[in-house]
Amino acid sequence: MAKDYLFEIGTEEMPAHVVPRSVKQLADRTRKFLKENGLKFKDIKTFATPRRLTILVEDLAEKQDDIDEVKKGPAKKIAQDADGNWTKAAQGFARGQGMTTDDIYFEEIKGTEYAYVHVQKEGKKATDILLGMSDIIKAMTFPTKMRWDSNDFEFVRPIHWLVSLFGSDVVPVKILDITAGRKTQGHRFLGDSVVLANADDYEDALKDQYVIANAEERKDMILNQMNELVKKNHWQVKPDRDLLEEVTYLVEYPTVFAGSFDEKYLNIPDEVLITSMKDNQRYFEVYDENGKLINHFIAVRNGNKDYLDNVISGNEKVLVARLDDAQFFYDEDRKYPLSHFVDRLKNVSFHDKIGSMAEKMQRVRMIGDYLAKRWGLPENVVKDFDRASELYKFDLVTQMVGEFAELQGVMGMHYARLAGEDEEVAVAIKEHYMPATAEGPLPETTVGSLLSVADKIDTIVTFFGAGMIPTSSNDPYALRRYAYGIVRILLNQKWSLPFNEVLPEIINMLNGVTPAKLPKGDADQEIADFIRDRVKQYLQKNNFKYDIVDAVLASSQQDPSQILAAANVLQLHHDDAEFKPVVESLTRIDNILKKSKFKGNVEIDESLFDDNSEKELYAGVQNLQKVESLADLYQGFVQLQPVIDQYFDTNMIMAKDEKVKNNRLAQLYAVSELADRLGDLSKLVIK
Amino acid sequence: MEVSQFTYFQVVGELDVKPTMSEITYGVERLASYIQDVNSVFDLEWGNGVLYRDIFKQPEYEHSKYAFEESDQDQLLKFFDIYEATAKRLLGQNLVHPAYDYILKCSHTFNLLDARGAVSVTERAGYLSRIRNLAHEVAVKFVEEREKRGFPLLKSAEDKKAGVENG
Repeated sequence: MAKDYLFEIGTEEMPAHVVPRSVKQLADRTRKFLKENGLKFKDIKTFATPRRLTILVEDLAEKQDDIDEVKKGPAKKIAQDADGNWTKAAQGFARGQGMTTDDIYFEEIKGTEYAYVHVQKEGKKATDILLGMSDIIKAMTFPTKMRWDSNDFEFVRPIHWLVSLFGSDVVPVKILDITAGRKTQGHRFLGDSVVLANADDYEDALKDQYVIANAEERKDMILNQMNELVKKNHWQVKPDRDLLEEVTYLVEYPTVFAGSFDEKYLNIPDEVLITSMKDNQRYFEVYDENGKLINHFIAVRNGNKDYLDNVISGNEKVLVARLDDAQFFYDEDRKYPLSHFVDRLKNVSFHDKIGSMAEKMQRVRMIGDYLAKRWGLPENVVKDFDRASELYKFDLVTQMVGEFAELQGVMGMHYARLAGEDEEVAVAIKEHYMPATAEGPLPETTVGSLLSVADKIDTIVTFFGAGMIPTSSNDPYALRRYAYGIVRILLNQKWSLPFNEVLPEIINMLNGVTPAKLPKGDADQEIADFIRDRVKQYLQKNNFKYDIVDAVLASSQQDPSQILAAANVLQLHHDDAEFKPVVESLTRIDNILKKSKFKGNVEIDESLFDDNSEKELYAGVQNLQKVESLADLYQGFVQLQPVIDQYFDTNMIMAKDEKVKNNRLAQLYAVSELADRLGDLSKLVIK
Repeated sequence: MEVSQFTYFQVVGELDVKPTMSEITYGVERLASYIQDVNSVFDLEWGNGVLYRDIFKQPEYEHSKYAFEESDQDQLLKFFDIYEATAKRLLGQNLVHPAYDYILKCSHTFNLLDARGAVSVTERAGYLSRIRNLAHEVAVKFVEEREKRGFPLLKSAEDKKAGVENG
């Protein structure tokens, strides 16, 4: 009969972020272990708190299925030699079935005798197999592990107890000097230890001891209590998902409470207050009904409501100490002009092998000016960009960013505003770090976008120049994310940037101006490819059909916005009736060109035309060469398609006369060059 | 409110410690601030009406003034080099305890330099690794010297065995 199996690893307090993934790991490894051992079960439930990783295997079979099977082996003439001795093949067959050659017997099928064994095995008991759970503990991996006592064994934190119950029976799994039993521990301060009669008693028994073992239930309790508080006080709260998750795994029995701090601290920028509360104290910030940050906070205690007032005042006291620090840094930083900080950037390293932040800022200014000129950005944008590029890393040496590194950019914006810089400049300082994650929000302003792109291009170029090139598995400086950010910003701003053309110019421009090493030889094309790979990522992320992605990336086009435009056109028309004939006609051209190895180094000579279809195609191509938008180009191809087909029908391309042949190929080449703007259409899957 | 902290020492001076040691610290001032119901450590009563402030405020101010405004960076940089060289020389002579004192001085001098923002990010890593190397050398030397004396603090034979494994 199937029963539930409970397995709990009781530890000292684990870091919150490790808990959810570790309990998942425990469940995954157990699932695999049970499957490999042929023990059937329905499902695995998990429970996790800072002090325990627990799984409950539901309806686990009491034993493996018995085996009663006849297995067919090699033919007799292979199984035995001429003298009737068992061959290696026969020995191997028997061993493979867990038997010996003594068990082999022969039976005839269609005139040939074959070796057989009758395998009969009683399934092993679950209670025996489950003793192997100790190997699962040993196999578990963690970001950091520790030793304790005199053991060499490592686990995320010292293990103090194990519970291992199959139904009502203890399975005495052993690890070090700990043998699993039926006793678990309640809340560290409020609960006692409990002896479990049955695996199923676990959740309820722990609840009596102030432990909510189910993490989802704890999270709901926190949210419900939080909502109650918020409602009562007419506040608003926007609980940060990561913080909520973290707090859930910091407590075994959550009680939510509210505290407050002196209004005088509200002069400090919101981001600083939120960081002080969130990062140091794990508090949730609170807003009034109009969405304004107010001098209250919400926090979660690992315990019940006893002496809650003491807990509140204790938390308030600690927060005030933090806010005093923040106020001090804020006041200190504002005593100096921005130039004081900018001057110090000479001594701040961007990277040992590249140079200082001050040097980086000089390069970024040059790159940004070059791009602005290329894109014809208005004078005021260039002016604001230039100013921003002189300042934008200054907050790295402020005391506030020294204390709260995650406020880089944000503090730069606030301090720049206070120093009377233009709003555009201030915002660009903040926005140049965006997008901070692959799919994170993009800079909204033009100046911020320009600064962000220039900064990221500089980072990629100088890292490649210094030989720190990401590999498929290792990208410690997140250069891929930067490249992806560049692509997203270019597409968002509709800025065209053919990297194969632009990178050599940028590298040339910086050459001799900056002490940093710059990419040499083909490295600029390597960077161009590196960025193009991110265009692929973008298209895949945005649900373009895979054959369209392949087609547009196989073109010689290097400008992300052109590649995207091509993908849009192909995706839009993919299911049109004309799509198939157009693509087929155009691929036919490519195939002939490929076969003929024509290099395109021949001018078209109209005097060699002797058919109307040649003239028509020539006129059509000339018209299409004037078309700018890829959407119009595609429509042009739709109209040109019958002309192309006619051309093939009436003309022998591979004419005997070399001149005529090359002239005809040159015509096709002109069409193919136009089609390349859309991509390598032969990659398209046409139904 | 946390009033105690429990720290495991699995590794000291880059040597694995067996058995793993632990240290528990109590925030006596924090506890006192609750008992006496005061917000600032300086308001704690030390005894007989004498406050923490009366004893510690002036030294705190003077040290801050020195560390953030009056310390001489060039001099501190020289001190660091001298302390480091002295520690190395003493280690060469198996004078473990004075060497250890000079390593602490290196560490303290580095903190003073850091307080003035005199150490760039790149240099910072360099200084930290110099201090770490010294800490490792003194730890190795300490175990060697204790081993020569048969680990006098380990009385039972089994404990002695464990001690040798430390080296």
